[in-house]
Amino acid sequence: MAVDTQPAPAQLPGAAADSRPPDHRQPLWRRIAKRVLGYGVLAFFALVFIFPFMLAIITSFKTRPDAAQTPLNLIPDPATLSAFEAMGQVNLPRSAYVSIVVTLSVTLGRLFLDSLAGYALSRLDFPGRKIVFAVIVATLAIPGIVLAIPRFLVLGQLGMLNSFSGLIVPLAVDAFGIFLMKQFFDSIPKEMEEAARIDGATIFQTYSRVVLPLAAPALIALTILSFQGSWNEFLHPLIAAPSDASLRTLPVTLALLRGLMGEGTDFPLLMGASILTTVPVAIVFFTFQRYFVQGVAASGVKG
Amino acid sequence: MTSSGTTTPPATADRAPAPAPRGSARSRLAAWVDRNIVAVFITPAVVFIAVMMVFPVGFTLYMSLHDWVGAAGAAPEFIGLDNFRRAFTEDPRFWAAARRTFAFTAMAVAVETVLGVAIAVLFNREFMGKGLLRTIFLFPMIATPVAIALVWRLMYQPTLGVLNQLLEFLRLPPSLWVADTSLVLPALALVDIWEWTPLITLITLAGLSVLPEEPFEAAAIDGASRWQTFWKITLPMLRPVIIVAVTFRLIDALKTFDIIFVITQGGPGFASETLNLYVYSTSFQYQNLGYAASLLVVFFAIVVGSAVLLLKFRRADDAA
Repeated sequence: MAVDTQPAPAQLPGAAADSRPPDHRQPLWRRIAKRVLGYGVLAFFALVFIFPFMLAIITSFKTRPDAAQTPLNLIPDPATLSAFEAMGQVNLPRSAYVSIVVTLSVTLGRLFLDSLAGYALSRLDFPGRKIVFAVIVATLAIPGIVLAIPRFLVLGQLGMLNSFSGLIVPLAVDAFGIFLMKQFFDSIPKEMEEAARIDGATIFQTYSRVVLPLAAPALIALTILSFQGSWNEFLHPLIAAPSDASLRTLPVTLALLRGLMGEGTDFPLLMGASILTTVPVAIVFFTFQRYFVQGVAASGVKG
Repeated sequence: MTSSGTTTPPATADRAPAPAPRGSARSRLAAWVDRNIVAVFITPAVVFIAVMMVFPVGFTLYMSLHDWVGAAGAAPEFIGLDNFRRAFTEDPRFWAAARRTFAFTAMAVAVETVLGVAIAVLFNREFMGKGLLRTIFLFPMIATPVAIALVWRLMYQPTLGVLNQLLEFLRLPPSLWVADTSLVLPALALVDIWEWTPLITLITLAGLSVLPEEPFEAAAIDGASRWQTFWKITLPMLRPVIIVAVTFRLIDALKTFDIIFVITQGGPGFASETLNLYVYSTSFQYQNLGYAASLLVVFFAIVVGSAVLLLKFRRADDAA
């Protein structure tokens, strides 16, 4: 104990810890104790991060009195599906439909338009290219609320308030997607495109048959980010469809549900709806987790 | 708009190998696309960005110099910088909201950074169940924020909430959590911490995986303890990556809307009203569009200013 007075932090450091030989000077019991402590800390954090989800799932299967009297009980007594049955009455199926339509349209729009623009900015030579790119990057820093009022007015002028197009179009191109695609195209060698061009392919053929298949990793990353981003988006659908209840996305409906109920809140219903809202993002996320992690990580290390 | 020199091969040369019977119409389209390739590729994006991003920013600047109440139907009246003067000298609600925005952001980002880096360093080794743990850690940042907010609202509930039950179990007095004016901001920051610490962890882990091994080997040879190695080698080498992660979080935390809107709507009273929520009610509740725009300009300047400052810090760091 004399040398190393801080056993807990001693677990922490070490990017190269794995490459070092095990420290045989330490007695066995201390190595075991350290390992147990390490797992204990990890398990604690894991529990902290997972607990709210568990609580929501458990609560959604409870009856309202049960949820009110024994909120901490881990087993619903009696277990019931009444919260899920009640969802039909609060317009959740319709909101789910709106969310699906909006999210799929936005994701397809971004995949198509972001990759076109990214390719143009990466490969095609035109006057003003640098300025266009700089403006696109600059828009990344704009807070959503800054865009909210003018967008509300623009959509009003175009007659797109309270319509699917108003929910979809403003989100169908995003600066981050263009940036991501441009960076990726920059990293692909030009030789294959030049070969295709020499073989007589048009630029568009080269783009669709040679470049896009190569860009699959970036397109998958963009799909996940767009899906997650537009599915979870709250502020835009809140302002774009202010007065049409049949055009509310799931997050908007959820937020309004809680407002309507006040303190007499039906927590099983709210928790069930929250879980169902999160399920689609969870599925997409688990399916493509690897790409998601790479995308986020790369933005930090390269940035 | 004509295309650039890269489109030199004549369009006719492309057509010969295409055996499709409808080839003529299609190839004419293809030739047209090729001749206007730049316009076809970039126009949609430029139009969208211009209408949905650049115009709104410009329009916000314009509105901020005008007195304009949306519902009244009157035309905007030019009043110069009067909106800004009013915000800075006559509007205590603005100052309070600005203070809360900074307090919330500072609390959230500080804890996220320390915790996020610590978890990343703890994670940066092989152990059983690593994949599962990583999935669990990432879940909060992909889940729907409004749903997250509802779950935390339930946990903070004074009578039904898990947190008060936990306090009772520990023989501690119950707390009002988000219903307590002095606790509401830290309580909301805690939700942000829970949601976004994993982002810092993820970025730090990526940074750790690309660190060179030589300095660590040298340190091991010199007999440095792991604690020393962490402070003297790992952390300084990670600094640029951590600063990028902090910048992301800082910009985002300043802009936090969903969580606060759903959990407290700025209450109790105005105790958790940040700039974002104040602007939202000024524009959509009070329809005071001109004044709201001037607040937005200030808010935007704060966000951009903070980001630039942090990135400058990083550059200076690189140069040293």
